Amino acid sequence: MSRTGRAVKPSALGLLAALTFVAGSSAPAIAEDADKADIEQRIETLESQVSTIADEFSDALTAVAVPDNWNYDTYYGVAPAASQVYGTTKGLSIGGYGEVRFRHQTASDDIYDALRLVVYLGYKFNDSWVVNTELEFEHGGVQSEASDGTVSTEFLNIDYLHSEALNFRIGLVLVPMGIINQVHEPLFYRGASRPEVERQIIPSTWSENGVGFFGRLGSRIRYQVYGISGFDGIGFDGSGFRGGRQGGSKALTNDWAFVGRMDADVMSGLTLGGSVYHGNSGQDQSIEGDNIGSLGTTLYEFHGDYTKGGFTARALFTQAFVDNPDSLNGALTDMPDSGFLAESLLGWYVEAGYNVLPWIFPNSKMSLEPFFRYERLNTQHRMQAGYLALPENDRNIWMVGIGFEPIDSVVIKLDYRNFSQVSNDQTLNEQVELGVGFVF
Amino acid sequence: MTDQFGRGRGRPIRRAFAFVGLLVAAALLLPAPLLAEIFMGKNQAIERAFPDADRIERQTHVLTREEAKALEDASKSELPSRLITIYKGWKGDEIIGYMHIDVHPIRARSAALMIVLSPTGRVEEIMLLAFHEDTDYMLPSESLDALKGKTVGDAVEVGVDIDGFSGATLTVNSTTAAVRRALAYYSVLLKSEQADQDTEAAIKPAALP
Repeated sequence: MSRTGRAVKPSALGLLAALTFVAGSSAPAIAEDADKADIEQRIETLESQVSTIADEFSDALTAVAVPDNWNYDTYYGVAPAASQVYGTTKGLSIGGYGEVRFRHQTASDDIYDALRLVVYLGYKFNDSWVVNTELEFEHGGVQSEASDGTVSTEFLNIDYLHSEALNFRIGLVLVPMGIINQVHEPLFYRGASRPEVERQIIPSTWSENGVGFFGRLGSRIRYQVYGISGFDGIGFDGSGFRGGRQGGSKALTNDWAFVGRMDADVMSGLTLGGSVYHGNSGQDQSIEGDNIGSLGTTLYEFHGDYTKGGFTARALFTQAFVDNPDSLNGALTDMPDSGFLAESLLGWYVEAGYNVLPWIFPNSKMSLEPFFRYERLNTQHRMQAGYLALPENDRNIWMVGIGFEPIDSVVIKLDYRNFSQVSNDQTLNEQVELGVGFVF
Repeated sequence: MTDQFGRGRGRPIRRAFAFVGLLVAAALLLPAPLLAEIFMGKNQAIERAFPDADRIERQTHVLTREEAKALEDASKSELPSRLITIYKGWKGDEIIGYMHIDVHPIRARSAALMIVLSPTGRVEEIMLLAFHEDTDYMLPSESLDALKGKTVGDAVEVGVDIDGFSGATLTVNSTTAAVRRALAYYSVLLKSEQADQDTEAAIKPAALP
């Protein structure tokens, strides 16, 4: 018998002792009457039985993730019901994330917000058909006079998994643009607030009803291509495209858009990628009888993500174009607070952080990461003739902060953010934010 | 060329179709692939772990709470289960290696890693058998190679022995934890058996006439 940790065989001795004790009154009589050989025989039987039970349990625990055998041919050549190897990994999965944020700021009221509570519900019917959903409670829940809360389905993917290279998706999909839009859990971006470039120009979190396909090409390249409901351009203004997102609710599909994305794992720790969106955003809508036009919208971005040891960095560049925005701007009776829709929008950011905790506690599982982010954002980069840009829409945004992860699934963030106007370097807003987020 | 509403800019759409067409062609022309989340079955993994073995023995350890706690302390990780199955490859009278399949959660779903140790407790192979999370969280296989060669006493840390991956932090952490657990199993559950075997081997020649 090993001193610490026992294989099943020796431990059966203890089990036998326990069983005979539980058996109670008959134990002394058995001990007195049975000869030694009989007891040893019974111990051997129990050892064998317990060993079998332990092996069966252990196999069952492993089978949750790995089937006993995996035969590639059966996937292509035999009906699913005949392919028992797929049967071990189906069923329900539940996950989620949440975040709260306190924001002190000079340009507006201080806000403490139950920002997001998200529940992922997924169901794998078999190895080909999977449903995955995200239900989000934002700003505390349901909208009312006292609350800006919302409850929404953020994505609802119905996937047909054909192969590693080619799989199909239909439903309400997260538009595959930028770094944040598809991976936006609080542990996976720095600071209590997401980059403004990925809020105003790439309007995260941005989901649209659509259909398309995705997969891996070789071991290093991933791609996604979708046809989706285009923006509803009637919500565009000088601040960008956020107001044009349709989400899943009765989305207008008089105009469709196409979006494609590709990411490549160039080397260990370095991922480079890009995406393109194109479609009309007019949706045949009118303002007081004036058709707002087609508002052809093209948006592209390039991004990179680098990790080496405790160092991590990200960068993103994006630009957008709108055809003939006058067809919308001219239909408006007043200029929106954020100005008129521009012909071109431009933004980029870089950020970097370093986990310093290993310097102090080399064996710690926690993480302490100071970081900075610089953004340049101009949502009225080029205006159509006859329209003027508002100078406050051309901004520099600095953020410095620190993120602390006491365990893998929880993060506490503290940061300072400064918005300034490029034309005169005037500070527009200063924010100090404290955020706490989790995933499960 | 655009009409009064700005319609008709066709070139970007044609480019988008061309892009889509190229991707579809590339995807369809690739060799027949396997599902992303399961790469190898358990029995195939056992065979791969011990290609030279003439027999393979399995041993399931049932840990007490105290023993589990000791292993958790040694590995600086939480044990996914108190049932630990270790496969031993034998060639003649010699153990040629140990293999353990570590099934652990990543975020909401599980992954399974095969970790093969030499008779001296060195990580010989580490391989992902199954990954049920979104594949965006999956580590490239080259990054697992960085953990080969680790032995009992090595810290096996993120940022030292394996690069962190932004967006895959949970996966990196759970992978390094699985390797630390395998090394702790060797150190606590297997090392003494190996020592016994070495002692027997050393005594045998002396006992011969």
